[in-house]
Amino acid sequence: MKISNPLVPIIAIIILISLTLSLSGCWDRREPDVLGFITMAAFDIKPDSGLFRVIVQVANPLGEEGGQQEGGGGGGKKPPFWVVEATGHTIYEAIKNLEVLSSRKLVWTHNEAVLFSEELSRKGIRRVLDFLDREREPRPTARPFVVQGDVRRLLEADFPLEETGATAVSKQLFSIRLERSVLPDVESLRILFHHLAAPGLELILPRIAVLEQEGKDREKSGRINPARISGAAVFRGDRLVGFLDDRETSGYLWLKGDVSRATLVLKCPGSEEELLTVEVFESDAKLEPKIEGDRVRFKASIRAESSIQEFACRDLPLEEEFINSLNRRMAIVIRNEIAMSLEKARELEADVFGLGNIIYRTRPRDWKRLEEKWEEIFPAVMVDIEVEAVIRRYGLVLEPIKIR
Amino acid sequence: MFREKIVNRQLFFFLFMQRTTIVISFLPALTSGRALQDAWISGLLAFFSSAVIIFVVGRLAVAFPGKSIIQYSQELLGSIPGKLLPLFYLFLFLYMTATDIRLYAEVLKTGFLPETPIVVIMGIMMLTAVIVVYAGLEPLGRCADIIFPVFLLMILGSLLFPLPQADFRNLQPVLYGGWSPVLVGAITPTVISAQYTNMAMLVPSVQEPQKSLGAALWSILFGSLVLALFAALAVSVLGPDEGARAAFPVFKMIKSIRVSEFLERIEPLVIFAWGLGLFITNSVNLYSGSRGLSQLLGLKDNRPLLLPMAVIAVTFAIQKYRDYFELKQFFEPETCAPVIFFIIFFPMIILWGAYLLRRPGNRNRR
Repeated sequence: MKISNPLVPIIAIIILISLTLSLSGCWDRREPDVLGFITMAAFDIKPDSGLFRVIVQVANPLGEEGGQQEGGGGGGKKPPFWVVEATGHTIYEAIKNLEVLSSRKLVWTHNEAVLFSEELSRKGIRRVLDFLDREREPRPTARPFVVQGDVRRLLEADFPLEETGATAVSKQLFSIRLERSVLPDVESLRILFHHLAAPGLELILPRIAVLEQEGKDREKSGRINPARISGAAVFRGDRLVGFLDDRETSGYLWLKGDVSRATLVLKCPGSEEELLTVEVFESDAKLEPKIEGDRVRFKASIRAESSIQEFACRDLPLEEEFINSLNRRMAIVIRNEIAMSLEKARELEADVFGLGNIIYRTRPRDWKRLEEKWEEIFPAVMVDIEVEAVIRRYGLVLEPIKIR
Repeated sequence: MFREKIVNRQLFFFLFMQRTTIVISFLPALTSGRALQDAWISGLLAFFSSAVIIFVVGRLAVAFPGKSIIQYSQELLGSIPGKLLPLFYLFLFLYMTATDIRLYAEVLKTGFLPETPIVVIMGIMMLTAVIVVYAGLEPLGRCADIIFPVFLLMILGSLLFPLPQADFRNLQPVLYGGWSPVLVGAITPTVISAQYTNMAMLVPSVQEPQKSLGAALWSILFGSLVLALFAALAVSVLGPDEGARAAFPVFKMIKSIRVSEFLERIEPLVIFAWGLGLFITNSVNLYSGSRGLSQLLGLKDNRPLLLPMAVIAVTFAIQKYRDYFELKQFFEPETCAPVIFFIIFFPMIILWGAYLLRRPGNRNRR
């Protein structure tokens, strides 16, 4: 095809030149120097007025750099984050009220953690969730927590090893989930939204307990990490009804087959005082419902593989018989943890294990019948626990040190 | 007169990208109807019903090699009714263009560019389409050749990255609500196959038209697979309720995943794939529309029509849908099915009737 019209090249050049105009930016251009990045947000409710309270931690670019030598500039350094709060009748109103108090436009795209205060959780978190789900900025990858204690104090707290509380909390959750089995598996808002909507399943969230820090001295090396993250908050619908402690949370994870590492302390066979420690490094759970009319029983088969981590029992050879007895002891400990968590869940009438969900998924016909009555049926559900625990290996040495 | 030719490979690329673009936008079957975790079955079922549309449209196109629907309908029905009937199709091309750009503009405005006027987003999309159609059908085919591998990689990426976070137990129980929600869920993906009416304008320019029907069927097969995979994946990652509640489930799914502690925020993958696919979709619709109109009016060239048609498409996109709610409502099975089926099948029944009556076999019997 030949270009015949002499105007065509000229028009093309004009178009090309005018295209450069678009390089100058668009309507939605936002330079980072006018933005304040929220790293962690806490939601609370005022008990007297019923107003929502939103507290955010904003990364402060003017803050002190980690690892810099002191003595530069006399006027006192700014901390690497800033905490600000506002109230409103709705969450969104409260958030827009924050803008009045901030020199920069607050953006939610880098929000890493979402904290719900205990009071708000007891009243219901539904109205907070809609904002997080609907708005385009907050990401569903943020990690949700329920905070026991003063939320604002947690946001303001100085974590010994991290610049901002948001990184600290999120790293702490990550490493605890790897190293211990004391936190439930709801690690992002995505899972939270799903668990709220799924039939026959109640929500469970990681719990943070705020620890008191004496003084604000950043130089002190013995200062306390302000957050203890362990245990779980149990919800019925969107309302908090109670907490699971560490061992109960462990029991919950055993039933879910989601234990990545669990530390178990056992008594040495043949001795009441001496203890040894095993660590579970792999586990797996299978739950099978048996339904007769309105009576529901579950058969839970749990398998756990572990290794001996600490073995200071005197005069005990590592023999088959001894290992077998350890395996039995381990199974009992695991069974006890599961029984504890089941007991607690029955007491709270909250099916956090998703037993109803298992029926819904595998026996949909029965679920259609049971769905309406599930809340009444759940506390009466019996779970037969079968644990197969095996010690697979025992570290770099066989017997403990022999002291003459 | 010089005739531009494309090959069946390019036809396949056009049709596949058209299909997949709309699939990754609002994920029909999951967001329309109440199939929930069974949406992937609806997606697969839509293959069969869409194949019917393809056969109805494509078979006639193949029967009249080198002639578009505008030309053979005049041959079959005579001058005046033969000119009136294709108006349905020309309207459909405009309708599809308007709906597609409005969808894309809505997601950009909701998700990324809240301050940018919607006209600007739509106008720019249409302008690129005008430029490539002005260059002609062959350049458009070559664009598809270049874009397709990139598009495919992005689609594969957005299918693979969420896998580690997918919990396939969410797909259970299968057929909880019985077959009826699944069948209803298959309606919207079938309606979207209205895009295959483009064959009525494209097949005349294909080098081996007798193989075009095959290319189209392959494209709907792969398109349906992509729909089923995305539906299954979105349900596995987000959960059935959350997936069905989302305005743009694929986008939401990609936004929700953390591939590892270090890799997240991979949604540009979807948005770029969508943008590229929409460029092809719009251009093909605009080509079909302008080509059809120029043949109807007896013009030699379709180029003078492009800019005015683009302006009309943008205006129509704004006029047709008052808000996103109305757009969403349009894609509900009960709203869109009658509209589109009337536009596709009404002219087709008449044309097929005329075609069957005129077949040599019939004439001999008479």
